[in-house]
Amino acid sequence: MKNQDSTISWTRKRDEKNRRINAMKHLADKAIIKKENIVEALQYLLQPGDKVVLEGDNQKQASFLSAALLQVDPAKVNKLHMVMSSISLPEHLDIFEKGIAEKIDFSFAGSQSLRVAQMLEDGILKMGEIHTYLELYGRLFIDLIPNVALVAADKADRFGNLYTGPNTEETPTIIEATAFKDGIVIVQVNEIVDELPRIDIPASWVDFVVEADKPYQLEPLFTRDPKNITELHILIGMLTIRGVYEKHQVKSLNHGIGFNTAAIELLLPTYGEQLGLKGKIATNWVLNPHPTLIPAIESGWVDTVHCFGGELGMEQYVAARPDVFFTGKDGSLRSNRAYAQVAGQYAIDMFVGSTLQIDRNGNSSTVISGRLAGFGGAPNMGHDPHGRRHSSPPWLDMITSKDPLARGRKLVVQTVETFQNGNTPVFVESLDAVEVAKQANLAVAPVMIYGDDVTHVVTEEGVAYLYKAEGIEERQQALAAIAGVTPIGRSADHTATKSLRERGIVAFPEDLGIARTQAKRTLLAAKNVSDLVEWSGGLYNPPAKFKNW
Amino acid sequence: MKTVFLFPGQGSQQVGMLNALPAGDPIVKAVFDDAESFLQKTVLTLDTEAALTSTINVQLCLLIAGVISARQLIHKGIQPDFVAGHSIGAFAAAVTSGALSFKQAIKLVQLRATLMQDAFPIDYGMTALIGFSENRLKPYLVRHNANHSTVYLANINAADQLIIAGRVDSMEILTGVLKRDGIQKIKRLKMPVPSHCELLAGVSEALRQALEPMQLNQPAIPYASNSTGRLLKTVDAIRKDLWSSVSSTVKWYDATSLIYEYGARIFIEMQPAGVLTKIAESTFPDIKAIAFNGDDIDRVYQLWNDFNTSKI
Repeated sequence: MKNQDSTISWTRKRDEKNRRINAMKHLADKAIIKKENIVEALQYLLQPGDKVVLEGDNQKQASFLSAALLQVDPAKVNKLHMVMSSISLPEHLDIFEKGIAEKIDFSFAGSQSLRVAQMLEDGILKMGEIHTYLELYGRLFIDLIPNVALVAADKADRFGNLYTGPNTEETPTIIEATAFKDGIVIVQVNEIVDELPRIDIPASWVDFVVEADKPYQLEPLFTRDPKNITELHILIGMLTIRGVYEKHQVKSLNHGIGFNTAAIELLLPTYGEQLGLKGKIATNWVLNPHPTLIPAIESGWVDTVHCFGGELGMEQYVAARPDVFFTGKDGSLRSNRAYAQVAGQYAIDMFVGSTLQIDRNGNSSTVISGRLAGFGGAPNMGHDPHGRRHSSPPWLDMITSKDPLARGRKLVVQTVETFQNGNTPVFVESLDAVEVAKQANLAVAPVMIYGDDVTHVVTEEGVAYLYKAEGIEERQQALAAIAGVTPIGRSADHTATKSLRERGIVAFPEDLGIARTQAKRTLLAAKNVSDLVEWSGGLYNPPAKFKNW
Repeated sequence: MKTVFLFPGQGSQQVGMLNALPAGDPIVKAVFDDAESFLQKTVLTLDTEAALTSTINVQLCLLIAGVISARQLIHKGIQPDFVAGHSIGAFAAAVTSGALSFKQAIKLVQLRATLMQDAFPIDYGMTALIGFSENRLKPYLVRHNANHSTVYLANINAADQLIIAGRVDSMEILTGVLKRDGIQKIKRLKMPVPSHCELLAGVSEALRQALEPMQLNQPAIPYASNSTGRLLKTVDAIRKDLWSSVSSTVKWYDATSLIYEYGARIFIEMQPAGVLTKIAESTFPDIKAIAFNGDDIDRVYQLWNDFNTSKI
C-alpha cells in the first residue's frame, strides 16, 4: 500500500512538455511556428541536458533547424546530448564549439570524420557511442529516448500532417520514439500546403511545423558515373556474378555503394544475360534507387526494390515503375531506412560491399587514421544474423557440416581490388582501425565487417570461399591466395593455394571459365550517365554535376 | 560554396618570380616598399637564380609573392573563407587572415630563414615519398631509427604523399628499404635544411621569443594550422602555430581535409602556384582547384565566379 503515496507523479515528462509548450504559446499559431520565431521558440522548447535528435540522415538534412539551433543562446540552451544518425554538416559540430551541445551518439560521420576526431581529442565533444543504424534506432526506444526531435519533411498541412515523400528515410522512426514518450516533435518543411499528396506521418505525432527559408539539403550519395568504372571493376564484377551469384543462386540482396557493385549492376543485363541467369539471380533487392540499376530494371531482371532513402533525380523514374519500387497512393517512392535495415539484416540472402582494408583474418574496415567516420548501416547487413530461421537455397548452401542442427548463413561478400589507387594495399597485417581505437580511446576498434561473418572475398585475382575454409590457418591461406602482390599476397604458399583450388576454397578466373581479356567496358550496359538517362526513357534526371555530356 | 587561399612553401619558388609582378600595380608597390624599407635593398635582386640558392631569399620571395597574390585576388573581388599556408606559406596566410602585419611577417621570416640556413649547413636534407600512408611508414621509421641517425616525418601532404627529414646518409638507407618494399616514388628535395622536425627546436624557440612582444590582431579569416591540422580563430593559437610549426610535422593533409569538411570547394593557390593545386586536386576529386600565376587574374576570377555561382 506504500505506493499510494500521492506525492509521486507519474506524468513528470508530460507535465514538463506541457510547461515548455505553454511558455512559448505566443510564438506559435497552433501547430505552426513562423520561421522568424524559430530560434526563440527553440529556447523555450529545449532545456539544458536534453537528448535531442537532429535529423541528419544519410541523404536528407534538417538544415534549417540545424542552422536555427546554432543561433540559440548558449546561456539558455546548453549541455545538449545529441543523437544523430549522420553528422553531415559543419553546423552539426559548430553547436559543440558554441557550448550548446556537449555529447554525441551517432552512426555515420563520413563527411565530417576528421573534425569529429579532432573535437573528441580536444575535449570539445564527449562521445557517447558510435552505433550501427539499427542499434541507434533501437536505442531511441530504450535509453536514448529523445526529449526533442528536430526533423525534416517535404510538406505539411496547417494541422501538422506530414508528407515526407521519396525521402522519408528515418523520419517516422525518430518521430515515433519522441512523440509517444512525451517528447517534442518540431518539423521543418519545404512548404505548408492546404492538401498533402499523401500523409506519411499524422499530425497527432507532431507538435510544431515551421516553413523553412529554403528546401532541406539533400545529397545524391548513391549515384556512380559508369564512365569511372574500370576493367578491373568489371573483372571483379564478372568473378562475383559467376563465382557467387550464379554458384549459390542468390536472389535477394543488398549492394553497398561503390564502383565494384555499380559494375555488377551494369553487367547483369549483358554478361548475366549471356550466362542465362535472368530470373535466376538478383531479383529482390533492398537498395537505394541506384541509377546504375536502371538497365537491369528495364531489361526485366529486377522484381522488387525496397529503399532506405531516395536518390536525387530518380523521383520520376521510380514513380513510373511501381511494380518494382514501393510507392504511395500519390505515386511517389516511399522509403524507410529502419525497415530497409531490418530487411537488409534478416530478410536478404546476401550483402555485397567493398572496403579499404582487410586483415589476414578477413576483418575489414573503412577507417582511415585520425578519422572517425562511423559505420552507417553496412554492419547491420554485412553480418550473419544468427537468429534467422527462414531457409533459402543460398542460405542452406553455406552449411558445410553434417550436423542435423547446423544453420545456414547469410552470404557476406567483400569485393576489392588488391591495391586502392594502384598503390595502397588493401590486404594489411593490422587494420588502421586498431590504431584509431587507441587514439580516440574507443572501447572497441571500429571494424566494419568482422572476419568471421565474411563468407566470400573477391579480388581481381579470384574468389576466396572463406565459409568453406576449415580453421583459421586455411582461412588465412585462402585470403593470401587472392591478395595479389600485397605483402599478405606475397606470403601465399604455392602448394597450399593449389590444394585450395582443387578443393574449391579458392577459384581463379580460369577456374570459373573467365578470361581476363573478356573484362572490357563494352560489356557495361551503360557507359556513362547519358546512357542511363536513355535507358530510363528520359525519366531519370541526373543532378547537374553528373550532367557532363 | 566556400573558398580557401593556399600559400605555397619552399620548393615552389621560381627564378624571376618577383620581377614578373606588375611594378605599376599599387598593391605590388606597397608590399615592395614595405619589404625594401625593412631589408634595405631592392627586392628585385632576391629572385635571381644565384640569389635563390639562399633559403633566406627563397622564404622572403614566397612571403612577398603570397601576400601580393592574396591582395590582388581580394581586390578583384574574391573573398576567401579560409587561408592555409604550407610551411613558410603560413606567414603569408597569417598576414592575409589579418592576424599579422606584413612588416611583422617579413621580420619573422627573415629571422626564421636565417636561423634555418645556419642550423644545418651540410649532410642534412629532405626526401619526398609517394605511395605510402603515414600509418604504413611509421613502423619503418621506428625500426630504422633504432639503429640509425633519426629520420623524421616532416610533412604529411596527402594520404600517400609524405616528406621525411634527417641526415642524408640515414635517409638513403631507409629509402632503400622502402624501395624494396614497393614504394611508388622517392625524390630527394633541393632543400638543404631538415625542416619540420625537432632538430629545429632552437629556431622555434627564437621565433617564440620574437613573436612574444608582437601585437597580433584577431584574425578576420580562419587560418589552418600546419602544426595541429586545426582551424585557428584566435591570436594566441596563431602565434603558437607560427613559432612551433618549423619544428613540428606539417599536417597539410589534415589542414586541407578539415577546410574541405567546413565546406571549402574552391581552392586557389597563390603564386608561384602549382604544387599545392596538384595535391588538392588529387586529394579532393570534386573541388575546383585553381593555380593563380599572376598574369591570369581575369581567368582566375572567371573560373572562381563560374564555380561559385553554380549549383554543383
